[in-house]
Amino acid sequence: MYFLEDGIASVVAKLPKGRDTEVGLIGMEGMTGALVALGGDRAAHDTYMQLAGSGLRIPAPALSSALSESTTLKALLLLYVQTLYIQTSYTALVNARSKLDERLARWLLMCHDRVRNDRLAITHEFMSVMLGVRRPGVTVAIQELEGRGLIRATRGEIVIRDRDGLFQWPMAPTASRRGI
Amino acid sequence: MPRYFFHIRNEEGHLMEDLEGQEFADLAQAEENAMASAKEILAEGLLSGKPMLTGAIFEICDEKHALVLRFPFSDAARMPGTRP
Repeated sequence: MYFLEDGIASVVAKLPKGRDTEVGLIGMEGMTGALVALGGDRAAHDTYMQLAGSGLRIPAPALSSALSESTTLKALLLLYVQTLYIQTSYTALVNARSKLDERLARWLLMCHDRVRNDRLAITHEFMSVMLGVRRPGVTVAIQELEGRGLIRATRGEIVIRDRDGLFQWPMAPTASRRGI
Repeated sequence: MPRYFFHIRNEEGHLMEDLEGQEFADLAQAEENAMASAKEILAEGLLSGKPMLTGAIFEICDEKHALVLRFPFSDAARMPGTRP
């Protein structure tokens, strides 16, 4: 298990024919393999580093025995599991109900929460896997956010220009239909 | 594998440039991706209640920036193809 100090990890659920999608995002606020805190001994999905970083590593059995000895450690990690649960439930909501540009805005905010500056070194190809769509669709959604001045996209990098605007974006479809 | 760039030319003639491109085994694979991607973009737009890019065209270029295939989104709207 890794406790990240820097960088971002993605939990990816897999379907055949490469139709994989991200189901969890982890940064310095969290840990990989959080199910251990619930007494689990195996991961349901694979976890990948998507933005390079560093972290602290502990074997799962060692963490399990530490958890059985320390109620404060257990309480803390359970608190993290709770936040991960909330994140996953909102991911389920947006995957069912939100459009790609809105999901992209949320995903960029989640990444921005976990880095120390406004620049995210991510390719469109990578975002297409994370959002579970083909790459040209991501390019269209990025141009939409860029056209509103919320981000700036260059090759292999997204710069967050207007964080508040990204927060507001899911409210925006009505306004954008009127060309405002 | 060769890299293909999927620029999108909209109805007004504006070009949405693909800066990164994507690798495919050959042009046929790239065309299959154009079909699936156009279906996805059209569907996404329709479900958002937006006017849709049915008049848009993928202008697929190779690594030397030479145009190798034009794929109208309207083809994706009326023809069967790979599921996105």
